[in-house]
Amino acid sequence: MTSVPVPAAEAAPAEPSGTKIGPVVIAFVIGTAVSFGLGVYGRLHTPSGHAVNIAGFSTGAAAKAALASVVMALVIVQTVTAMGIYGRIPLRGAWVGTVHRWSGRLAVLISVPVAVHCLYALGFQTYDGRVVAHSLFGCFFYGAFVFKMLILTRDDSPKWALPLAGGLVLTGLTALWVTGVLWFLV
Amino acid sequence: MKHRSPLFTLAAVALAFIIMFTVDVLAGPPGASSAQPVATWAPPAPASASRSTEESTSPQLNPENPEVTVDGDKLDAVPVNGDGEL
Repeated sequence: MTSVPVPAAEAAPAEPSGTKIGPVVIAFVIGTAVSFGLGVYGRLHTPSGHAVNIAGFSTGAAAKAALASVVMALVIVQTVTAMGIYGRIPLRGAWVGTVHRWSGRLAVLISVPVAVHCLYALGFQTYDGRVVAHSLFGCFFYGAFVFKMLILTRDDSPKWALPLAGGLVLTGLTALWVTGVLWFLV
Repeated sequence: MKHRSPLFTLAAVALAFIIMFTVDVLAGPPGASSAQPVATWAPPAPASASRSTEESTSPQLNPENPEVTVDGDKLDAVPVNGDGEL
């Protein structure tokens, strides 16, 4: 009895051993559902027109602009430390990862009062292009954040998945800042 | 190695959302607490109301807080960023 040789192209897996795309797709679907859910809530919920003001700020808009700017600064720290982690810039040491994680945690937690103010007091508005973009990117940002957090827990994700998720978070937050804070300040 | 901290971060953010929503709901309308008005506010029009929102141009009293005068227009009918709101 003779054995049939298996061609090398068929024997070798397309992806590196242990890499799975399924969990990435599931995380993406969950993130999309979060974005969609926030948008639906913002659209269906009757805007209250009021929200708890943060002490020390003259108006709710000023508080949101300040908090969102802090978040933007922390996201820039995230981007720089991520470039160090991936060897794109010469940042070395265990502190890089620690700074990356804590800047991210702080950024998202600080963004929550801003997001709740937007969702509860104003809702998903569509009266001009900037506001539509701001509303869409607000929903997109939290969906991208959930997507990134879920694939962070997986060591078997493709190598491109985490930088992609981080890039989506950065894109969403930058667009939010431009359509909100920059517009407010200019 | 499995990283657990992102799931704790997700849970913390979800909890923060819930807390902030609860605070906003409990704070009530402007004037009732430290809540700050961000735009015009109007109660939902009753189903039996025959007047359109365009006709109700005079200020109305907020039923939850009679001391606060509010516009009759629906919030989503006018740009809420007229006073610089984000």
